[in-house]
Amino acid sequence: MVSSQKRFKDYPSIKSMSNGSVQPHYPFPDEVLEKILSFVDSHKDRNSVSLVCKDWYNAERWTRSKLFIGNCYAVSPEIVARRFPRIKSVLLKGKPRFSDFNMLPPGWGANVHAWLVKFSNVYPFLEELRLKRMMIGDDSLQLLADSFPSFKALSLSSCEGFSNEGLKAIARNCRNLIELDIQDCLMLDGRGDWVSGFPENFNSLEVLNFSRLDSDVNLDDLERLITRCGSLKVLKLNESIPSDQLHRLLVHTTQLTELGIGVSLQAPHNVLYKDLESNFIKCTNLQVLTVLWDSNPFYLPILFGACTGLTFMNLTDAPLGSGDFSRLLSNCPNLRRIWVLDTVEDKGLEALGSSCPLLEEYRVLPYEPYDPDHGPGVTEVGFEAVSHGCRQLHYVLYFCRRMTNAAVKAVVKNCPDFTHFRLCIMNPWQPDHLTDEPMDEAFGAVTKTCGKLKRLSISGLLTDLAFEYIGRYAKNLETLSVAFAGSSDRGMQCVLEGCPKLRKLEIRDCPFGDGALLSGLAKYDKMRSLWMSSCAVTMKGCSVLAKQMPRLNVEVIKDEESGNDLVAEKIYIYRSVAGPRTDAPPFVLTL
Amino acid sequence: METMANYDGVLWETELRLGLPGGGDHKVLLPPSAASGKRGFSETVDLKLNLGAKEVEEEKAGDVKEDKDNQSFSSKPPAKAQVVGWPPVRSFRRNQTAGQKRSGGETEEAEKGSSAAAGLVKVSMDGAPYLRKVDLKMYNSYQQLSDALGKMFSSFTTGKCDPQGMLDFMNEGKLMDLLNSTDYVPTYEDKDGDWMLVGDVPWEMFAESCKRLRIMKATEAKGLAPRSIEKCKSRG
Repeated sequence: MVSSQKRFKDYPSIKSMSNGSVQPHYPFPDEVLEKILSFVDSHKDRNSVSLVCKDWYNAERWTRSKLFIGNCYAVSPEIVARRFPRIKSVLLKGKPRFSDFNMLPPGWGANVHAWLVKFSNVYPFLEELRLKRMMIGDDSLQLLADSFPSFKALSLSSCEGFSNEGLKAIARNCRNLIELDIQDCLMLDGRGDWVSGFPENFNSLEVLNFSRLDSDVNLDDLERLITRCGSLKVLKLNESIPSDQLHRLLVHTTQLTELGIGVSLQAPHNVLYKDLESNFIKCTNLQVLTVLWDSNPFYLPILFGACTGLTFMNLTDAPLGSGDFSRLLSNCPNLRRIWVLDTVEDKGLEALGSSCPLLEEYRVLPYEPYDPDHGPGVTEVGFEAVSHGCRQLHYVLYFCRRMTNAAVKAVVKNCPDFTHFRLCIMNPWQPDHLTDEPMDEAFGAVTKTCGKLKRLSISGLLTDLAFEYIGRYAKNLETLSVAFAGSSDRGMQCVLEGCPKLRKLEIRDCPFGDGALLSGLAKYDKMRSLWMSSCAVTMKGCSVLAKQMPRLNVEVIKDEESGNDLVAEKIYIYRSVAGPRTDAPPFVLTL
Repeated sequence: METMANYDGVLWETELRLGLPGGGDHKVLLPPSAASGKRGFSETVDLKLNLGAKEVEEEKAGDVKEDKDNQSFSSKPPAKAQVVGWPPVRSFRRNQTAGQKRSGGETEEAEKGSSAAAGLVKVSMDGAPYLRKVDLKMYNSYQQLSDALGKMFSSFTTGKCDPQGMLDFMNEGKLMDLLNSTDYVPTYEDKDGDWMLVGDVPWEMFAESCKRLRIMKATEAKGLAPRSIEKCKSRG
């Protein structure tokens, strides 16, 4: 027998437990298991690991250092703190996505404070906090700054509730701060002296992003900060820096990999031009450029020198015409991702197709979303043109005012690898521009051809047939956004019954009623959330759902205007182990 | 004909006929009126009769006006009332068309945030290479604004710019007379997108409606009301 020479047995032995059950007994010491598990990073993998057996569950919870909470109301701070004792990094998401478009009344919730109070008690070594769509007040920022001496990274995306004072607290007290990343947030005031809050000997910052923040930042303070942070890699400024002073900052930015600036230059001035141009030429490491552009086209070439290595360019605040856009693109052969406005028109998109063969993602946003007379924007022509030249596309977000089934079919034929396909035809119920038919076949083609599709947004005139296609073919679909579509309950039912991996479903202005809602009974606790607004769902239907599914929070949001008590105007349904919300405002009814 | 979901025990049927070139009727389900959508889908529409007369109440929430012309798929649709949250874009641009509030969440907070920002306007001066910004909320009178603008445009340092264009700006005395000067006419873009002369209305009204300032050369201010220009000259 050789087994005695081995340190561990080959197979687990069966251990008889005192209560009569049997449990496989792994001879690994806990330390070994934990060491192995410390290499498992993704929270999805870790969730799987924790389901294997009790030992693994325990080993996993002791070794998890990154927390991902996709819905802050799905779990409570207490539950989290009990299960995971050693957390260093937290990502928390709050409000449903439609809150970005003003569809949630003020005071809905998702305030991070209770979480921070708990974290300050149990996770003294917290290093990172990333929030999306949450409320964070100055008191929370102060608590954050005071409670975690090792704090390194704060990222706020689509958050609000804080002001200059809160940011100042962070600047003053977080001595080891490496990252301050504020995206798409609303400040309560427009002040900017938080930048002066960083102490004179503070120099650890590597990422500073406040590119869309309405904060009047002082140039001198900023220059001093940038000068002393020699490891700065990402710098994204807002518009408060006057363009003629930009060069003062840009001389310090030659090592940056990501730069965001606002450029508002009107009258042509050769000396200023030359200064800025020379700044940009020196940015040889630049991979990402975000430009808030409000300048005379005379100045456009100043950017060219920085474009050769660019992989991502964000021009959503740079209304360029097709000519200027084409000129710019011819300097960007390495682009993988680009975000533009529809001012570039179809011609600009043709240039994109021919200049950027490595493109993987592009987004076209409307310059004047509420005013259709302002320009032709982009159409099915541009949509097809990009796909001809850019065969590696896997992500598209396209806002347009007209589209055809044929164009969409051609696009997915050219680019079958789409994982994210978000098409927004801006006029509700708009049919195929050429044939006047519904756009069902377009999405049939998308779901049939793009087997890897994870995220889909549909628009245009759509009947239940479109939903049949989705249910039948979109087997990897995780997120679906629907607006002004469908003919009957059957549409929603097809999706709920057909898409096994569906996690997020958001629906507005569709003829789906209680029948549709209840057809998803078996599904909702496998999903993160369901949003339905301006559909045909009633309070009765919601009550039935709530009764049958106790582990779901079925929330009805009552707008002030809605007089009819039978209709459920806005509903938000999500699974939760924390039970009904304890902080719900009066207009949120949990059934 | 397609039957729609049962609501309140009533079955609604809708039918849309399009006269397609290929002949024959093409039946498609008509999207129901969304404005009364709070009550479910309750409108029956016959496109052939072009029931534009089916007046749809405009709800406070800003639901979409049912636009029958649009469904006839012919000409450009007439302007609709804005639907809340549609198209699904977030707008952070401050000097967009009039009255557009920044989206990004709860309206109450947005109002607080944007009222602070609403005071910030861009100021451009003909001949100057750059734009500046002023916060109108920091001033109480045209004179204060004039003083501030004077300082702003005179703080431009020499040596870095084309001297020719900068000559006019070097003379601080001249700058201080800016708003009373006959060579330059201060104009502003108001909430409706119209360009007006600065000084015509009481300060509070101006501060409230001003979106952007432009200090024009008097020779270019031809399009503005002569009466206003006279007024401007008489002040100097």
